[in-house]
Amino acid sequence: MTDRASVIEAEAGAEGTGAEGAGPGEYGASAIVIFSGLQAVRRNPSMYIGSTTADGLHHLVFELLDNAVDEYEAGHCRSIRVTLGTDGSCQVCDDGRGIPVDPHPDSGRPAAEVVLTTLHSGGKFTGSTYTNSAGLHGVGLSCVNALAAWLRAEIWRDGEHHQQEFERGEARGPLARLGPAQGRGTAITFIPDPEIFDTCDFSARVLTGRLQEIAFLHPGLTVEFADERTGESAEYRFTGGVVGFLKQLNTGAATIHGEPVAVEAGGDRAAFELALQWTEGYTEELRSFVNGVRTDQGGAHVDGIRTALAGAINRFATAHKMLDARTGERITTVDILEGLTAVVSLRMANPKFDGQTKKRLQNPEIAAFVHEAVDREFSRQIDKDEDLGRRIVARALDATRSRLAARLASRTARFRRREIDVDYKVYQRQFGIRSRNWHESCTWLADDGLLAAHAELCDVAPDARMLDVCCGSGVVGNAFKDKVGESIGLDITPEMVALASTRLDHVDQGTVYDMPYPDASFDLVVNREVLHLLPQPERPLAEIFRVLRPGGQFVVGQIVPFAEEDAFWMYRVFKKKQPLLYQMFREQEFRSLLLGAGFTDVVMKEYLLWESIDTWIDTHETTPAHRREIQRLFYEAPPEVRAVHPFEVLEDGSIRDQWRWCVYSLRKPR
Amino acid sequence: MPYLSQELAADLRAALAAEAVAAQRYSYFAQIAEIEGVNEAAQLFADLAASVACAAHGHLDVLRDATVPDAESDIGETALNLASSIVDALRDADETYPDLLAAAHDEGQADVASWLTTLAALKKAHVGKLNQVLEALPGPAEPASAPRPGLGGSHD
Repeated sequence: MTDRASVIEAEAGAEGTGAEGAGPGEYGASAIVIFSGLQAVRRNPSMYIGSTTADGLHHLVFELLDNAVDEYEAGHCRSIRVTLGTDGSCQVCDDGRGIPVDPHPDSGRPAAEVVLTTLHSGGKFTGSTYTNSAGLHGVGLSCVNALAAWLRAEIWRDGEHHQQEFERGEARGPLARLGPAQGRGTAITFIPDPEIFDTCDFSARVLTGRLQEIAFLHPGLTVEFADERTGESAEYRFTGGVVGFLKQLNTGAATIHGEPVAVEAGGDRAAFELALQWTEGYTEELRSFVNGVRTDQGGAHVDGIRTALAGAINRFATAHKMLDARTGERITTVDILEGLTAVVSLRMANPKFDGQTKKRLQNPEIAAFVHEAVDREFSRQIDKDEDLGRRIVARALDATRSRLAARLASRTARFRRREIDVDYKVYQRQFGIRSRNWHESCTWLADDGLLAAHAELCDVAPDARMLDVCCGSGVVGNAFKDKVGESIGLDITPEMVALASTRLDHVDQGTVYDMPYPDASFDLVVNREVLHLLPQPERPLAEIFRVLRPGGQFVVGQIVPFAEEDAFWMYRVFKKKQPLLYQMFREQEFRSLLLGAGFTDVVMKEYLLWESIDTWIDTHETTPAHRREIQRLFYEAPPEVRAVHPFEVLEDGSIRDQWRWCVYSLRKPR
Repeated sequence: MPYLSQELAADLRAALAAEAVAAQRYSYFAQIAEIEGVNEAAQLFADLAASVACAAHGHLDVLRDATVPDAESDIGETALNLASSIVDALRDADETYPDLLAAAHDEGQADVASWLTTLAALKKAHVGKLNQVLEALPGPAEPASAPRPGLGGSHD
């Protein structure tokens, strides 16, 4: 109780008084207040760093970075360097003032040792040294020390080089003076404790993402990154503020308008800078910050931007008669997200966030403030530059119309009783546009291991004639090419026919419901991840059976749920990704479908593959709202699903999902 | 305190179903509002969902306490709750969803039929899990007090 009360009191002091409050802001040993011991952190690490997964692991580095950034904010640091060592270590080094090393007045121990070994100790409590601090108020450094198998602190201060090493939070010896040294700063090197963390493997991607943000939020600060494991290195330094950061994010993207739209507004209680630009991409990229801290979940400031943009875009579209008045067409706040990249940095007093780790701004007055400013300035800019306005409206209308089309697409194909009535145009539109950058759209399309899993099952004569049905770009057929005499492809879209022709001997355009081949034309038919998209899959299977010679082989791969418990959830995920989904086959269902078509000699191999869901849903087939809903399905997946279906949500909210591929070999009876 | 009449109990069950539906609708609407960025509506829907879910539990309190235990109550101690859950899940797995998916197939709604198939499978898995826990419960003094699945949740 006493500890907690002191913390609250100290924080209140820090908030209210600022640097001028308690003395001249001298950062010496007496500025550091001691609260309590460290074992608690090892006993319950999640309470301090959120989790012991990869998120928690990277949180350790962020804590060290926050300390270095605080030194920058206080005007004492110009560069920060992060180095990942080949020994699994991570070093964060800054050229700030160096942690004080003089004896702490209460304990007599060097202040640096106190900071590293005592929970709730740090310069941020007394309010005199830092005015605006991002870190965990001094918990950071000692937390990292407690959760590190080994840690070395090096301090350059007052012309001397000091060093101390620790093991699991305990000092291995006293703080040592290594001799005179020039310069100043702090370097913390640590190896995370494998007893604590599920993984001790630092991700360069996660760290560089954060370093980039730090550099953008602190103009003039140089942030360096070196990964000795791979030789990768990077240096970030921005002077261009939000526009500079936005341009960096959109590097290489096809943009709808040349220059980003920038909006700035300031008031008594809040001020923000916003830059935004639409691209030809499908996903939105909204980076929002409040007082330099990223708000992953957005909140009032982001909502204000979206409603303002939707309002201004609709007004412009109506004024220029770009909306279809007969259908009451309207661009929604979700439609404007498609392809939108935006960076907003808000500074305000007393921000309120919901939850503990959920970064979502709650202050409703901010939504109104941001809305009003964005509406005024954005409207002014598109009214002044009509071409800009027209381009942006056209981009948003694309999203509006594809949202409506997606809704219709799933209701377009129908079969009644025995007759099937498929609108092939819908398939052509959905799968034809895919050919643009198709192979980047997900890992499985060109994953060598998965293709090999299909090809390994191949058991036909070397002069065999093969058909790759619904061949797409022809990669599957290509994987069999060395094992057969002739490779033929069949696909419904001209785009794919052209693409597959570069890989296969010959490609025909046609439908799988009525293949343009006589009976018994092929020794081998191959097919991957198609049958779930076809209503009445018995029909195409009967066609495959028909065109195979007796004794011929059918190799087919399909993604299936891990168990009964994740099938319904996967249905929701896959249906939102692709409205043309007709079946979410479970393994036994798919198997009986194949056997029911008359095939025999079934052999099945499983292949597990990790996919980036964010890449997978970055497609015209998936509407912006569906993308959000898919993310929510992962974030809020029921425990029963989590128990059987492996997936990961990373620190930045991105999702990696494991897919269970079942690859079957079957025979048409002789 | 006298038990509720059968009629009133039935009406209360209907009210419970309605509140349970309302809670789910509100939380679904909250998600849509959040995605659309209408913060105020999202907050309101989330708050309403919480209240209505609490009200639904209140209906369950009443039904648990004020209906004749032997004849019609399917809520009580865990053994009974497990058994009555098995009955419900079995009905969903064997009747409700198979009937629905057959109807969906008849109308040519292949995707809807597949959706319902996944739910029939889920419910079947639930029956298995519920059964396992029920069977592992320390046996009651009289075995008859834990009804077996398929008996409609009541006994004697």
